[in-house]
Amino acid sequence: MTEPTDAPREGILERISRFLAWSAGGAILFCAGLVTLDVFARNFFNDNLFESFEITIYIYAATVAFSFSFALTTKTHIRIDVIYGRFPKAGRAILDVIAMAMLTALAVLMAYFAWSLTQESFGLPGKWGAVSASDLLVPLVIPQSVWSLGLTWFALICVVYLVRGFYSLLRRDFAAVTALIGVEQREGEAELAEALQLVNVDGETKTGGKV
Amino acid sequence: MAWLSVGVLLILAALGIYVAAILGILAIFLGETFSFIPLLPALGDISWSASTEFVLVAVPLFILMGEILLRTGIATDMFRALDRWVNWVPGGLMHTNVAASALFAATSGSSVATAATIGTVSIPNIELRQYNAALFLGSLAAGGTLGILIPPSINMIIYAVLTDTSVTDLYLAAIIPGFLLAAMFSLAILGACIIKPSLSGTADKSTWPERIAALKHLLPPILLFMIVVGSIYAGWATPTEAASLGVVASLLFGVYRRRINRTVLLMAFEGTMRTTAMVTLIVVIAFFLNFVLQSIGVTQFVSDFMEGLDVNPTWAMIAIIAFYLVLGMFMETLSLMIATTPIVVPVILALGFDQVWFGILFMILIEAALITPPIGVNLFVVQAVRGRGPFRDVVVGSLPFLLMMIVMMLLLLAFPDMALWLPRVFN
Repeated sequence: MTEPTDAPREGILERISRFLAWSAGGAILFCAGLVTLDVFARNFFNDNLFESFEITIYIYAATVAFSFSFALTTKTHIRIDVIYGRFPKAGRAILDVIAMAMLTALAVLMAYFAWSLTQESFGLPGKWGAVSASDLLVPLVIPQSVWSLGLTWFALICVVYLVRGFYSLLRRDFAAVTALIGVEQREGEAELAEALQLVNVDGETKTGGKV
Repeated sequence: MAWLSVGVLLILAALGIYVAAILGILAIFLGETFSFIPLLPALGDISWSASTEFVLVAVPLFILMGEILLRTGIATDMFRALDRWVNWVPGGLMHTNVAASALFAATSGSSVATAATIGTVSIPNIELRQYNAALFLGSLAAGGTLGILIPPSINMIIYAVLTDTSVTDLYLAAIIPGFLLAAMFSLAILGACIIKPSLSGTADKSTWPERIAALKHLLPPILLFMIVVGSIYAGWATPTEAASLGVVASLLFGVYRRRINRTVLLMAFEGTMRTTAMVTLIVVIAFFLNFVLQSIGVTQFVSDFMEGLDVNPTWAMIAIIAFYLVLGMFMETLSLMIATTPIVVPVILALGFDQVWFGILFMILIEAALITPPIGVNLFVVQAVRGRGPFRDVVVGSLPFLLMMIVMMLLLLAFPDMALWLPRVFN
């Protein structure tokens, strides 16, 4: 392999996951706006003009499903390193692959049963199968397909990471395994780096001395 | 058998297996072994209903609000403004640490973010004004934990969803214990500095015009608190709706300060979705585990067992508190909370306690877990911001505050109405 093994690679899958997270965040902001309008509409005109409740829950399901992979590529999914941290490099790499295998199994099961639920909704009577119990009469197959697609993307990234990690393990490139799927340095460090960066952006605090 | 499986799980967890995967595999294993009908096919249905739970949408919304406040400098300005008002008290800046944490907690909800932000601005002053490093760092680490007790707390939303409790009731119940705990932190600092004045640094007296001028920086967080928490208490908005109002308001503050641009937004989106995805995956799987535990009768068994034990509820509760204090030393707090809720809540209900009341006590236990070594996230964050000196300083400095948390829990045990009075008045 030609890539440096200590720095995490930002390949095409990672960039797509990041882009999906940006879109998801944007969608959540959109929900905030929509719900806010509905709160005003309800308190002033006594009417839910924008059906924000239903749109928001579908957007939430979809955005989160599509963001699971970003949490994986940025090593945010929680792992506890009490014993893990005491292992030598090779041991940690083996544990990384085992952990990844178990997460992959879960992700694949979630995607599989999500599609089977979607299919079930579609199979119910009606032109588009089951519809939501609201004024919008949304055919559930639409939001459920998007959600299932997000979970499938997560399962796919999991499989790719498992294969990559396993391959590096076979080559005894333990550093590569840990760089790809290891436990991030102490929790909070990512937030810390961001906070420091924020304060530096803020001109007045740059000196850090006088408060 | 039960103890063996708990042991295996704890070992798997400590070996660094993803917490979500462990909970999922536990659920599947229990379902396959003890159920007559296959439970696994329900995974799709349960994941869908958990993913479309309107209350849970408040989680990304509150995180997004906190991200915007951080990235637009509103939080740091608030810290400086508060300092102008409280720096004359013995202990000076340490009270500012606590007060700023409490106020920021009241608008953000993430304790790590709170400790990191306030710490970055505050820590350089340890040397500059000759504060005792340990107590100063302790006030930051402990102050940061107030974020999960003072509304709007994200942890409380998760507890509410998992236990089918009203978020509004929890938010009401948390007000008195939350601000009282902040006051007790301040009292601990004051007491320490009066007994041993060398702990406190050199004061930097502010003039009244400076204080008045600083007020405008306190306005955004106070307004936000009133919008978010006020609209819930007044009954105008549900917690998720209130969170939406908060996002829109903080965005408007940011636009007013000309700090909103593409980079700020994208960074805020990234941070929001990363945390949300991490939290939601565990919550969704916990829902499935909860379903399996109920289907195979574990939940019922646990509550029958507790009712049959005939123990003194108070002593049982003290045992539960001790159990969590010990477990909290080693476990990551979010997993600790989510993984144990399905079992511990039936237990406390069987003992005759109120689940809103326990929610508040639980949050304080989680706060304690954040500042107890060897695994205490806030300790790490504060030490990392400091960047040098022994880690022991932060640990030792947090002890007085840990003591205050324990006192607060005993107070809650003795006077449950501290939490339950406000929800009763409002309903």
